[in-house]
Amino acid sequence: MRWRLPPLHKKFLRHLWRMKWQALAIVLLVAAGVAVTVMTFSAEEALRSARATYYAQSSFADIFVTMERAPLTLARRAGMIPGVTAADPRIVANGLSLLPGFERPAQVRLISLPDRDDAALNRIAITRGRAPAPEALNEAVALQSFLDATKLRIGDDIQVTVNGRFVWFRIVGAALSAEYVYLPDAASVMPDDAHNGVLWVTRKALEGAADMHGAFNALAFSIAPGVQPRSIETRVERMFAPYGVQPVVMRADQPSHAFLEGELKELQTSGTIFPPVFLIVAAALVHMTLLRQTEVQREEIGLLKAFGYTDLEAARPFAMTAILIAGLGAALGALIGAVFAGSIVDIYARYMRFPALEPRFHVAAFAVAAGASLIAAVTGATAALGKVTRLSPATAMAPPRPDSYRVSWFERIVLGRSRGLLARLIARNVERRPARAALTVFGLAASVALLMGTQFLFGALDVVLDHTFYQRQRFSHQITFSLPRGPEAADDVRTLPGVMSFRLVRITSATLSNGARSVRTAITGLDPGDPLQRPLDATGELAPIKPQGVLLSKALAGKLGARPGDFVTVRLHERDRRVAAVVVAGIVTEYSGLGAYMDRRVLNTMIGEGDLSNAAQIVLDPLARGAFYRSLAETPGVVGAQSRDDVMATYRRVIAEAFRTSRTYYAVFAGIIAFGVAYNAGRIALSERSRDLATLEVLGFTHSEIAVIQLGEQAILAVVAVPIGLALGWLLAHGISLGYQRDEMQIPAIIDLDTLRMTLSVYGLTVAAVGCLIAYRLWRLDLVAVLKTRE
Amino acid sequence: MNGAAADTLFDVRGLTKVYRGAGGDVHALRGVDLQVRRGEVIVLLGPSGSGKSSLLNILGGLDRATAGQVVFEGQDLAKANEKALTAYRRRFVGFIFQFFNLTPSLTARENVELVTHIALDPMPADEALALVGLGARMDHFPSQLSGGEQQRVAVARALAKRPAILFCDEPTGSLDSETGTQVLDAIIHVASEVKATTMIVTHNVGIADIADRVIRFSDGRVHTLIENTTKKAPKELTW
Ligand SMILES: Nc1ncnc2c1ncn2[C@@H]1O[C@H](COP(=O)(O)OP(=O)(O)O)[C@@H](O)[C@H]1O
Ligand SMILES: [Mg+2]
Repeated sequence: MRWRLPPLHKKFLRHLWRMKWQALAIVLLVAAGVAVTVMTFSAEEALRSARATYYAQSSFADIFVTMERAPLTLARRAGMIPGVTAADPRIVANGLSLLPGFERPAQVRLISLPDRDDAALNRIAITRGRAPAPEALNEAVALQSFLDATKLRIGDDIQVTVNGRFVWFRIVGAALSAEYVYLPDAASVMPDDAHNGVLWVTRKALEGAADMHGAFNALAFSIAPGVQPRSIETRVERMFAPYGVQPVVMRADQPSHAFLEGELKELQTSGTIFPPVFLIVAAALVHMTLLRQTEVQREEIGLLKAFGYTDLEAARPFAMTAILIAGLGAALGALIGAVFAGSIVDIYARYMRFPALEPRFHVAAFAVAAGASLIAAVTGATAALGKVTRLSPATAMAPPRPDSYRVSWFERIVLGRSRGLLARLIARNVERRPARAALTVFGLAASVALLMGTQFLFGALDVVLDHTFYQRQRFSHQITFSLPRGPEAADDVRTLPGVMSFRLVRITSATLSNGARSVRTAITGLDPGDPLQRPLDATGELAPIKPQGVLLSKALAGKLGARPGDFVTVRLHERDRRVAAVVVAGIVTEYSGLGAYMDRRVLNTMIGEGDLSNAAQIVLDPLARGAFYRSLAETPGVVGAQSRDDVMATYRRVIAEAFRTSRTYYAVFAGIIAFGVAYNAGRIALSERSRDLATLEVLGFTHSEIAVIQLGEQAILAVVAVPIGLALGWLLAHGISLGYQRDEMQIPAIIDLDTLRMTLSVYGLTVAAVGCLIAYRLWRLDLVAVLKTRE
Repeated sequence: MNGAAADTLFDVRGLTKVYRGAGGDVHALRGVDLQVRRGEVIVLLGPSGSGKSSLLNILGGLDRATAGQVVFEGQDLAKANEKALTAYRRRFVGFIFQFFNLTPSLTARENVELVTHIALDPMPADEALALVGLGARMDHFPSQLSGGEQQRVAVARALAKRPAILFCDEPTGSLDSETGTQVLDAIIHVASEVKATTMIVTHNVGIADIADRVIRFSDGRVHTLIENTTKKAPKELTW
C-alpha cells in the first residue's frame, strides 16, 4: 500500500497554511531572538578564541611593570621570583613624529626587541618584510595598522623626537602584537591608527636614543598556572622600589586586553538582555494565535473527539504548530545569526588586529536559544492545549452560541454615555478580551522599549561627547611633557603659534582607596578658577577646585563607594610615593575615565616637589593648527599632543562604522516585534469579527465604517502601548547603560529627541503598514461567503 | 434471558440527565428505559427540547448520564471514565450530524480517512464514498459540495469504519426533501451493508416508516414505543 500522510496531519498542515502569515510573523520573532543570541555569542566566541590563540602564540604576559630605570641584572633576579616563569626586560620610549600628509604629529612608542626571541614575552608577529638586523641602529619594524593608516611603506624612513633628540629609522617590516591588538588613542579611547604608532627597534638602537645602556624600564612577566598574580605583585614592587617603579599592571588592566574584555562584556550584555524580550513576545503571540485557533476549530475538535480521537491526538496538532514555529524560528535564527555574526566580526577585524580572526558559530548558545524558543512556544501553547483537552466531544453536536458581551467598565470610563455606536462596538471588543488586549499592548510596548533601549546609545553618545569636550573641558588641545617642568614651561607654551590661552596642569598617577576598595587612576592638578576646566556637580552647578580635598568623577566615586566628606587614601606613584588621606570635596559628572581633580599646588606639595606641571591645556586658533603642530614636532620634551577636533572626528568615523550596522539590526528586530504583534492581533480580531462585519455590511454600513470598527480597536491598543513602551524602554536603557559601563566610557541612559523620534517613527510606520495589510484583507473578504460558512 | 441479552446491544435503565446551569437545572432526561437490539433501525421522534439529542449523546459516549445505566457489551457507559468512552467511540460508534460537520480543510476522501485512519477494520475511503454515490467527487473540498453531497460524505465517514452503532441526529434537518431522501437512502443502504445498528433522531414523522421500531419521546421520557410492521425503503417515503 502507498504511504499517505495521515489525514489529521493534512488537516493540520492546511490549517497552518491558512495562518501562514501569522505563523511566519511568530517564526520571525523567534528567529530574531535566536539570531541575536547566535550573533552576539558567536562574535564573542570568535574574539575570545582568536585572542586565546594569539596570546598563546605570542606568549602574552600576565603582569606588566614600568619603572624609571633599572639595571639589566635585576631582570634576571626578577625572573627567579617563585611562580614567575619568564621575565622579559625592554626599553620603552615615547616620542612624537610628524608624518607627511598629517597635520598633527603621531604619538610613537619605541620598544626594544628582545635579545633572545625564544625566552621573550609579547613576541611580535612579522607580517611583511623582516625584523631589524641584530645590532642595527636605524632599522625598525612598525605596527602594521600604523603603516596602513599612514601609507608609510617598507623602505621609508621615519623621524621621531624622543627625549628632545631626533632619531630616525628605516622601516624594514610590519608586525602585529598581542599588546596592541587594540590600540586606543589616549584622548578618545578609540582607535586612531594614523596618530598612534609603535616601532620595534634593536636594544642597541634604543640604549642610545633613550640613554638606557645596560638598563631597562619595562618588565613583562608570565606566571605559572595557578599562581596568584597578587602574591608576585608585592615582591616585584618591593624589588623595584628604588628604581622608580610604577604600580604593577595586571593583564586585566592592560589597555588592549581591557578593551577586548569590555567588548566581550558588551556582547554578552546584548546577547543576554535582548533575546528574552523576543521570546516572551513570541510566547504571547503563540498563546493568542493558538487560542483563537481552538475557537475557530472548536466544532472540528469536538468532532474528532466524537469519532474517538483521544485528547492527546486532538491536541497534538496545536503542540506541533508551536514546536514547528519554534523549530523554524530557531533554524532561521541560526542562519541569520551566523551571517550577522560574520559581518560583526568583519567590522571587529577593522580595528582589532589579530593574525587570524575567524567567524565562529557558538553551538551552545544556539542550543540554549533553540531550547528557550521551544519552551517559549510550548508555554505559549499550553492554554490552547488545555482548552482542546477540556473541550467536550458533545460540542460537535451543539449549535454555536453567540458570544457574550456586556457593557463594560472600560466603555463607561472611556466613552461615558455620549459616543456613537461605532465607538461602543470598539470599546466592547477591547473589553471582551482583556487578556488578549493586555498581551497585545505588552507586545507592542516591548517593541517600543526595544527600539528605545537600543537606539538611545547613539544619541546618548552625542550627549557624552558634547558634555566631555565642550561643557566640561573648554580647551581644544592638550600637550604632554616628557618630564615635569617648572614655571618656565609657560613661556615655551605661550610662544607656540596659535595659542590663544592656556593653563598648565599636573597629571600624576595614583591609587585611591576607600576601605578595601582601591582604584588606580590619575589625579589632575588644576589651578583654582581654571577657566578651561568646568567640573560640574550632579545638579549642573560648577564644582570649584578647593585648596583642600579632591573632586571625584561619579564613576570613580562609585567604584570607591566614597561620598562627599569621606576621606580617601591617596597613594602617589611618583618620587617617594607618599600616602595621604584626602577629603572628598565633591563629586563631578563625567562620562569618560575615572577622573580625580585637586589644586595643582596642593598636589605638587603632596608629591613633594615645587611648582611643576607636565601638561598644558590650550585654546588654539583653528587657523594656526598646522604651524602649531609643526613647531611642536620641533619642540623637545613634548611626548603627546591631543586635539579635540581629532577626537570628535575619530568618534564619528569609528562609531559610524562600528555602530551603524548594529543599530540597523536592532531597529529591524524591534520592527519585527511590532509587526508580529500588530499583525497577529489584527488577523485574530478580523477572524473573530468577520461575521459581525459581514452582517453590518448587509445592514448597510459602508466599507470605511466597517474599517473604522475593525482597525479602531487595533489603533487604540497601539496608542496605549506607546507610553508603556517608553517607560519600559527607559528601564531597558538603564540596564543597557549599566551593562555597557566601562572605566574609559560610561554611556548614561539619556533619551534625546532624536531617539524618541526614531523610536516612534519606526514603530508608527510598522503599525501603520500592518493596518494597511489588515484593511486590504478586509477589503478582499467575501462577506457573503463569510455569512454562509459556519466557522 | 440469555438469548435476549445476546440480541441486545444497549440496555438502558433509569437514565437521567440534568444540565446544571446558572439559570437553574434543566432535566433533559427523566428516567429512560430502553433495549436496543442488534441490527435494528430505530427512529426517535419528539418535539424540540424533549431530550432526543441528550439521549443520543449519552449513548454515543459524548456525554455522561447524571444517573441510571447504559450497558453496552457488558460495560456500563454511565460509569465509564473519559478514556474508556474515547475508546468506545473510536471502536464502535459512527455519528452523523445535522450540520454535516465536515472538516473544511480536508477533501471528501480525506474527511473519510480522518476516521478510517484510527479504525480497526475500515473499508477503504474510496469504497465508502462510492457506496454513497460520490465516487466521482472524492477530491473535492466541502465548500465545493452541495448540502446533500456533504451529508453523504458524512454518511460515508460514519460508516467506513464499520461501526457497531450509528447515531444520526437530525441528518436531514438542513436538507430539502429530495436530497434528504437521498441521504436517508444512503444511510440505510450503507448501514445494512456494514450491519450497523442505527438510531435516527428526527422530528419529521414521515421518516418513521423506514424504522424497525419508532420511539416517541416527550419531556425527557419514552412516550410510546411502536414496532413498525410496514417498513419501507427511503425512496418510498413521502414527506
Ligand atoms: N449543554 C446543555 N446545557 C444546558 N441545557 C441543555 C444542554 N443541552 C441541552 N439542554 C437542554 O436540555 C433539554 C433537552 O435538549 P435536547 O436533548 O437537545 O433536546 P432535543 O434534541 O430533543 O431538541 C432542552 O431543554 C435543552 O435546552
Ligand atoms: Mg436535538
